Amino acid sequence: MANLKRPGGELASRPLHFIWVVDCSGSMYGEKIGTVNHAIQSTIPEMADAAKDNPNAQLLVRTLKFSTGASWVTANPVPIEDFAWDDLDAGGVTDLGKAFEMLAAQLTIPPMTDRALPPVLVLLSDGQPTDDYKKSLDKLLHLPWGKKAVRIAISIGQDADDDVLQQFTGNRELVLQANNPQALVKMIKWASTAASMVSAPASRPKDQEAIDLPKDPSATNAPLVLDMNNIPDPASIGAGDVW
Amino acid sequence: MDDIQKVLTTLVDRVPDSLNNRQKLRAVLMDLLPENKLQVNLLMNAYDEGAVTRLRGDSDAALHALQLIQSLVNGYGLTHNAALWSISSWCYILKLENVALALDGLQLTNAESITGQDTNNTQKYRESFDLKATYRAGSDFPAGDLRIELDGKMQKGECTVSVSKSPKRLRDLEGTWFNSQVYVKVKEGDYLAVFPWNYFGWEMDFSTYRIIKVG
Repeated sequence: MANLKRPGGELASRPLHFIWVVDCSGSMYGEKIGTVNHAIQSTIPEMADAAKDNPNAQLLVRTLKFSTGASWVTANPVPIEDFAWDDLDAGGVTDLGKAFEMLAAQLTIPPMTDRALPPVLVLLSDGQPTDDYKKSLDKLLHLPWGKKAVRIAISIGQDADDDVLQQFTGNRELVLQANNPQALVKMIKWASTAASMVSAPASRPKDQEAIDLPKDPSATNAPLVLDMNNIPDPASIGAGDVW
Repeated sequence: MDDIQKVLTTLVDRVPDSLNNRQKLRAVLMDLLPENKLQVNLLMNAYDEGAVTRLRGDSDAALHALQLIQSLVNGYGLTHNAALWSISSWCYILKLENVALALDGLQLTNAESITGQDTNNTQKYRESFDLKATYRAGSDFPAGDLRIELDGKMQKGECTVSVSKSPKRLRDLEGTWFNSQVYVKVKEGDYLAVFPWNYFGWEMDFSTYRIIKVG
């Protein structure tokens, strides 16, 4: 088995876009944004290691922040090995609709190619949208890549609007609750592993891996299944200070 | 208008629908005032007490403002200044600037802050006093030179304030007559009561007063 050659030679790696979408509104000020900065920064080496194990995926990371308006922290997608986290500050209101609009602009083809792995979008928010988010969310979810993207939300504190976050993820289970710093760190770490889940051909028997070419996810309607069994249980995380 | 109130004047323009949804309002206030949780809570207390509906109503906003302040003091245990700040802020938010300015003029002159701490005295006293009830200096209110302010104005009639070493028969003593406020000197352990004398059974729209130490 070890000497089997792939038909057509080496498999070309496909881009896997991983996007952190971070609420930087005033309510995130202080401990919340500090925890986000620290936790995401600490996931980078682990994500880079995981990416090395998946040569058929090129993990490209970038960050979109939103408060009063939204903007890309990194202008272009950056390979994980070159990615550096710039600490974010908090201030302003929660223009989530603007963030969805900017996401939608980047998930259209072009600039996306039609041959890629499903993007991973991780949204972190502790509040309520202050702008009209519905139209731009609808637009995002109707894009081929928007629809196929793995969409995870981390709901920070008790004032977060979980209904809105669920509309984004399309699945209640993918709205992760983080009501204290410890939980937030764990949820961010779990979300960061989504990239390796997407790129790993887990649904195929291992002994077929070498001879089956992976199907192009953009050409199928099969939903990507995430293993949600190992999502950290918020109840099992020490309460500490509750936000 | 303080700096926080200046920020709050932009609330309705920035997020017009925030006043119709409690959860959204709280989230927006937390966005606008991330370092002022106390003030956010004061504003939410007033919101829960119906401040938006009542101040926006057709009837006298100033009267509603005064009633709301009293409701916050009695129902939520807020200090008078904290309640006053909260309602004054809501008046700024709702563009009722004349009412807000009038309320700002009612700020207590002592050192009480909206945090409820008296910077001169750590003893906690009652915030509000009921007409006709008897209170003791040193436990219910501080001894010394005091200003007594009614939480409304006697339209027909006056009040008397009586001070005695005994809590008995305060009503029968010859008290000091006043219409809205009066100054008295009270020693530690003395008892005090305020009685309304409203002519012809004229209805009063208040039933409480405040005691402010001035010296």
